[in-house]
Amino acid sequence: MPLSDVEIVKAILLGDSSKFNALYVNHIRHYMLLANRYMRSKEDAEDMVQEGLIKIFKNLSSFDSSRANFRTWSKRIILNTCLDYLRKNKLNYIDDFENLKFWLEAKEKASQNLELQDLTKLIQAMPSGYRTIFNMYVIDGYSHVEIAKDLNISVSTSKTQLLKAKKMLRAKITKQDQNWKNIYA
Amino acid sequence: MLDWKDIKSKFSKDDLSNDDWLEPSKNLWQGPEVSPTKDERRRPILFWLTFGFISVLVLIGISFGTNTSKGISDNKVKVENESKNEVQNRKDLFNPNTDTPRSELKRINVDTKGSSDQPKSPRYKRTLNNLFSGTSENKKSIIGQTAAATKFLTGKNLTQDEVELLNAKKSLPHPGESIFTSFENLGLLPVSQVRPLKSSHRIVLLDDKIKVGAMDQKQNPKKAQIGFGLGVSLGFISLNQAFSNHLAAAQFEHSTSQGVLGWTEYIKIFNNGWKFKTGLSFERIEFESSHNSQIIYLTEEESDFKSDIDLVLSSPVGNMTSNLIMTRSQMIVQDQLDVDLDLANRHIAYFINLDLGVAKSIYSNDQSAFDVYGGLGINYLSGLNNQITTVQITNQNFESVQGVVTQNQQSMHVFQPTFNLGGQYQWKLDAYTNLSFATEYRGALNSFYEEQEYSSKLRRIRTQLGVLHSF
Repeated sequence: MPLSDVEIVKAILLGDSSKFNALYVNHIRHYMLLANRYMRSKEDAEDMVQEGLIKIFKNLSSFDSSRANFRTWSKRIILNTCLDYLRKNKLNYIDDFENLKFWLEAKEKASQNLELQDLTKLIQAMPSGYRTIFNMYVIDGYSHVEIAKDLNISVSTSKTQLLKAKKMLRAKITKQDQNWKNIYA
Repeated sequence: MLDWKDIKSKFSKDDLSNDDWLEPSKNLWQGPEVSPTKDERRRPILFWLTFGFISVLVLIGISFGTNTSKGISDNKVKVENESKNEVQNRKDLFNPNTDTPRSELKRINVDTKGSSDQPKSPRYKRTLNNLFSGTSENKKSIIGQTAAATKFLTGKNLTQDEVELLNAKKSLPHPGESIFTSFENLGLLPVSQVRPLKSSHRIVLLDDKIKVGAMDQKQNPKKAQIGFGLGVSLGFISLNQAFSNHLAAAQFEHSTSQGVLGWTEYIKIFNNGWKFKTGLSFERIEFESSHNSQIIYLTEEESDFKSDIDLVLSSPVGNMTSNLIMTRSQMIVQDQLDVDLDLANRHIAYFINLDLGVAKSIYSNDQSAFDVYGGLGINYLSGLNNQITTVQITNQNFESVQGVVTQNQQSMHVFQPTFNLGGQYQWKLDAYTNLSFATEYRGALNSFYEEQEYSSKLRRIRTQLGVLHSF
């Protein structure tokens, strides 16, 4: 019977660092999905995940399973790592959706489960400011007050940027439904 | 129509096993064969040494009650919370628009999560092997850990002077060195000023960083326990003076009660060591009594040398009525005889006990824990059975006497409010199962029997053994 996350964490803290691989296998795709939403490319997402994994390992002793399950706790660390990076690199709100060619190429190569991947690519293609606020509010459930505090922006900025992000994403998804290739090829 | 909730649900799905596009490249993880470094191999030994050392501190703390006004649990290191602090600190540190000086103390706060070697760009690659091989001897990072530990242990921030003192010192904490020793060496924090740690906390040395955290108990926290078991009880029935005097002439005697019980209980565990307990038990107690009785035997009422006599018997919990069949062995010429009877009786009572109470953990370690508890309850008398065990007759004209109880005691309180005080020792069998041994004193707030000026009370000592399942 496979060990639970809590049991694995305990084993690691008692010195069995090889168990970290089990945590990695159990959760890596969730970390990658989260980081892909916040970062522009898979390479950047991998960097964030790698950095986050190191933080997760170093902070395992602070994991409190009574407050959150391991995935929630560790995803929060990955998210904070992404936010740290985005904050340092200044959020931008410039529409560079026209760079979606890479997405089309990826879409043509992929064979299955395009829906989640499609959405991820669409979100990735948004300007970093829109992308971050959209992710935090719509998907990760942060309030505008929390977003404003975390990103060092005003609440009204958060709200207006979210509206713009939603509008942009809605337009792009609608266009996708009509005919992606005609528009972006 | 685009539904944002639908988008959220898509990203919240639990099973990503078919999303191969999320598989990271191989160089993200260099494989599970991460060879532990020397420090890594030493960690279990360090753990036990550190744990033992902190346990001693905890015991000293308990003994002398030196806990300060702010509980250490308030300062538990939480990644979730600290991440935001870290973020805020980073904001202050890197925001070019603020006038905040980049003081060492600020840097220390940033470093407390071991992130001083954060890459300048995500393009900076680092493998997880670095984690085990000791990334750096970064002095500032170690000072940061010291500052975090100081904050955790004392609730105080390091002053700028102390930071400078740390910078000037050559003997900074290093892997394998207890943080307490480090503080003492540095002259910053004598051990005597370190607040006693709860046993659930210890200091960990990871890599070249000193970490303080809430440990074992937190990794396997239990919110509640439910259990069951068996037990025995010893009861003491005390008669009030009037009742005792009333029965003295009949040479009344009674025994202590002995009982068996089955119990079940639910324990809600709170973070501060307090627990809420509720329990239900079924108990059978048995005790004996004896007394003399003088009767006048009327020969004219007999048939075939046999005679029925209704006799009132006494017990520590009131009077009962019996019917005796006395058989005479030979003809007698008198109309009546004075007969002395020596009666021995057995009394069996059945109780249902419902208890509510609180418990406080006063000692715990990885393997065992000891709680004291107290509470109130209701003792419901669900059944009563009386038996005449022996009847001895002194008159040689009789060959046998047989008796049965025809009516039980009528003046007993069916409901008795009770209080209980006790101690419970738990021994961990596995992660979720504890062996429980408890003993308690259980007193009554009212009389068990009460009639006119006569009354008696029942007090018991119960010992219980069972298992508790933690969840």
